[in-house]
Amino acid sequence: MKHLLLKPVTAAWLLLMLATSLSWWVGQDRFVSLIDDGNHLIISSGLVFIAFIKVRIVISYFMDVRHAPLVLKIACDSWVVLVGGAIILIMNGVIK
Amino acid sequence: MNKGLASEEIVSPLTPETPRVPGEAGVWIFILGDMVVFSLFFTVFVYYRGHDIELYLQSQATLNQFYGVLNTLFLLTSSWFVVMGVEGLRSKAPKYSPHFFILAMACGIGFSWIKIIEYKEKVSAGITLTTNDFYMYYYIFTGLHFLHVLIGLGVLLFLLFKAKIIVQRSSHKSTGTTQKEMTLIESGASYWHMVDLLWIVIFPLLYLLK
Repeated sequence: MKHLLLKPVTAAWLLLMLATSLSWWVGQDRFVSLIDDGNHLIISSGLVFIAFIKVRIVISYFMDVRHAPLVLKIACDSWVVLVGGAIILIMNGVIK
Repeated sequence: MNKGLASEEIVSPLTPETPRVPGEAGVWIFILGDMVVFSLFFTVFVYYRGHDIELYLQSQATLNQFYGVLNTLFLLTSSWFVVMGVEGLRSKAPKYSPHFFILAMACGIGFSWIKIIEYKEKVSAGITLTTNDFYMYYYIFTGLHFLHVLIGLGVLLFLLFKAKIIVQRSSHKSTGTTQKEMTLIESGASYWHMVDLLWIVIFPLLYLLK
């Protein structure tokens, strides 16, 4: 049992749980209302950025793509960069 | 049958030097296709959100963020249990794998339970698919994702039965999981991780953006 639990994937799961709780805390209305309006875009972009880092961790450690052939790694990483990047650029009005 | 089983290659522990697709290649084509479809939903949502941000923010404020975060934690934990179940079957001690798959299913059921409560609350408050654009996207995204969760629960049930058969067999004989079984199990596990992955993006887009 111990050899199963003490793997890098368990550390990845703990990190994901922490990042999720942190995103929720930052995204809470009462917290954001204390911040100047101009920072909303930065916070939103940060939340999306963290989400896609989490996605990358799920792909690498849960889906085990870190041991996959290069073509699958490239396909998954392209999705993360293109979709995450597009969302942030659209949100910030760079892509209209 | 026993002879055929014995002739099949038994899985060996993974080494970083041997790149391999986790599961069937066909399942991965489906997974990547599904991810592309959802990515179109995500970008369309963010695009139209930018054109009527006040309406989206007002509507988003009625969502229960706690339900959203709880469901994310449910799916992350479920995914981790699935990894533990799969790793167990790959190791020489698969006896814990069925327990991990049961725990993974329990988390999936927890997600579904919260989702149903959330839908009930919204519908009883008179909020439906046609209320406004935000709620149209809310119901379509979460509804399609929920469909994936329900299919995923069926997949997890299959993994549970498969794991039980393997555990039962390995307690009688010295045979472990065959390569063919492992590929099937990894395919199902990869699908469940994709369900988790899509929710990780849906959660901030619908519940948290400012």
